[in-house]
Amino acid sequence: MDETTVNISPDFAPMGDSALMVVAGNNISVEVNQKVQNMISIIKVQDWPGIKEIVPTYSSFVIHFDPLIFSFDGLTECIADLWECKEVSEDTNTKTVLIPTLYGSDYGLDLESVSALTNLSVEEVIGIHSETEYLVYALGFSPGFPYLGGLDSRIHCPRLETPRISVPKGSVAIADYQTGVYPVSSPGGWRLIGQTPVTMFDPNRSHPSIVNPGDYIRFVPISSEAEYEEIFEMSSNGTYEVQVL
Amino acid sequence: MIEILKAGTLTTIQDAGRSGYQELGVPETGALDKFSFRCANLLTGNHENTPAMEAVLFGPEIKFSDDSFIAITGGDLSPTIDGTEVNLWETLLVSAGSILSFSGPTGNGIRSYVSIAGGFVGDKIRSVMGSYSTYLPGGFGGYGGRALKDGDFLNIGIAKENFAGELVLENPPSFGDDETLRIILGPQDGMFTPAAIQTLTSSSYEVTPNSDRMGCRLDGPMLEHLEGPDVISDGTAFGVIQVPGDGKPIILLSDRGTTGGYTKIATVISADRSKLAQLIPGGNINFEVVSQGKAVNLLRDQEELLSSLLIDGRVPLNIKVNGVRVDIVDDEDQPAMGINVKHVTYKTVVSDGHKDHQIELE
Repeated sequence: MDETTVNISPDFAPMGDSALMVVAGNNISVEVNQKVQNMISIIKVQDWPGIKEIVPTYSSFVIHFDPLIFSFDGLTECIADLWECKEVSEDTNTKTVLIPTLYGSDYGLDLESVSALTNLSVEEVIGIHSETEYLVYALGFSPGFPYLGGLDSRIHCPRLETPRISVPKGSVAIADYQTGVYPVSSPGGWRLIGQTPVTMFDPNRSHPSIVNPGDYIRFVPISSEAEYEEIFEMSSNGTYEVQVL
Repeated sequence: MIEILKAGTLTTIQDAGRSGYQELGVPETGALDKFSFRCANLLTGNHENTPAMEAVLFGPEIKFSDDSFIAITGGDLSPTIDGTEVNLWETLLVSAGSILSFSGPTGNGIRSYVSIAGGFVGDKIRSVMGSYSTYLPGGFGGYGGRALKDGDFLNIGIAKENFAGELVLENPPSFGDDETLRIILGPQDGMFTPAAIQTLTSSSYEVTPNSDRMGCRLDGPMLEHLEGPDVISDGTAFGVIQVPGDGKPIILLSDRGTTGGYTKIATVISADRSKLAQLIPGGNINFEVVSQGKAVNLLRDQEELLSSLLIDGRVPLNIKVNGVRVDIVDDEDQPAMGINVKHVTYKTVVSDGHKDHQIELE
């Protein structure tokens, strides 16, 4: 990866007449992503007319706007003016969410292969994976899927050669430099090392996703299937509250 | 109440889409042909964002248990009421016991919108994350998160008081199997060879049958990347044209993923959204580059067409004084394309027949 750089001035690219892509940097880094998150907070505070929604990703964000209310050129000018703004938004409300996870056996079918590929014991892999606080760079791919960065290089592993047709809901997985949780059952090629009993995403909740862009996640090992089942039961009937630091 | 006697190929409840949840990875969803969807609602006296049906290719067969105003817009799937052909783009009155059916596409579009005065309501039709749109892969929104099935019943909401029907959209759009879609280059046109841009704008592409609500997949001359097809996953928009490693463009639609890792060469303009939504598999399309200014003007024209159906209660998009449209200019004397918060004042000139008055707007 290149050295970390936040663009001194943003790169603007039109995505048609109603969306503007604002590029904050050209790599995946905490610094660039925090610039993205911070700019979004600052823009939201402006309460500009015609802004429909702002979608962050690793190193850029997309503003969806109504071109009959706010012109493309006007919007780019306004954002360029705000770019230098050093003020860090106070109300970002970022938090660290603790995700209970049962590692290995039927809950993490690839934990053994990860152990073999990394020349680490299963316990060491679990220890390394669960000691890091991972930044939620963005959510995407499917509703509520968090793109997490900061995976320890000792447990980097390639994707599976053949993706699984169905990965169980709640699977905690790794691929290359990334780790993530599958919020719903879906196809996937990442290596499964554990599973959380917590419902990460529920379209019918007032806050559908338990994490937002800019939050941090830490995986906390669960010791037994009994504990997994207990949390699963509570999470399914809406009585489980995730721990937040 | 209405009964779905036959569901058709794929009939779903849709509205104008889900807004504000893309940052959680939730697709925009909603009616693909938003113009036709909104128009159907206006023709039945509804708010333009009332849930309506989107039918694809072979439409449903529906039995009405009450006299109702309905409207059918979008692609022509040969609608009939009790066996008699009916027009699209106008208010229709159906009688209790009548049956609406469709005998199939005619080459004029593939998606019809069916609205009813009062809208479709009921226990199973719920707003999820601020929208009634059905998102089939996620199983939520619309009618129980799924497409309509034979034997489903839908209730009808309360229609606008004193709605008299008799509305017609003049000069409605029509759709064919050889369309030109207007595009704005970007966001990543610079990651393609100059030849690729030339190819995109001078070639004909075929709409393949494996197109769906996520994307319209095209076949035609390959578009070559300068340094590979991948970018750091970034955001997407309706109409953006992404090009994977095989060089074949895919135009992303309502149910697209909110993030994507392929280079995006250009984006279809908002005013051509209907044409894009109505493309017929096997049909051909060409692309033509236009400016931002032209795209916005075309969109404004389209809004004007729709506003002709407004009965009451909405701010017009253009400012008129005594029935005369006035031109608004910004403080650099350029025509105002929209409100730009950078500009403190706008100006316009209004004539009272004797002399011109310059009015400042703040």
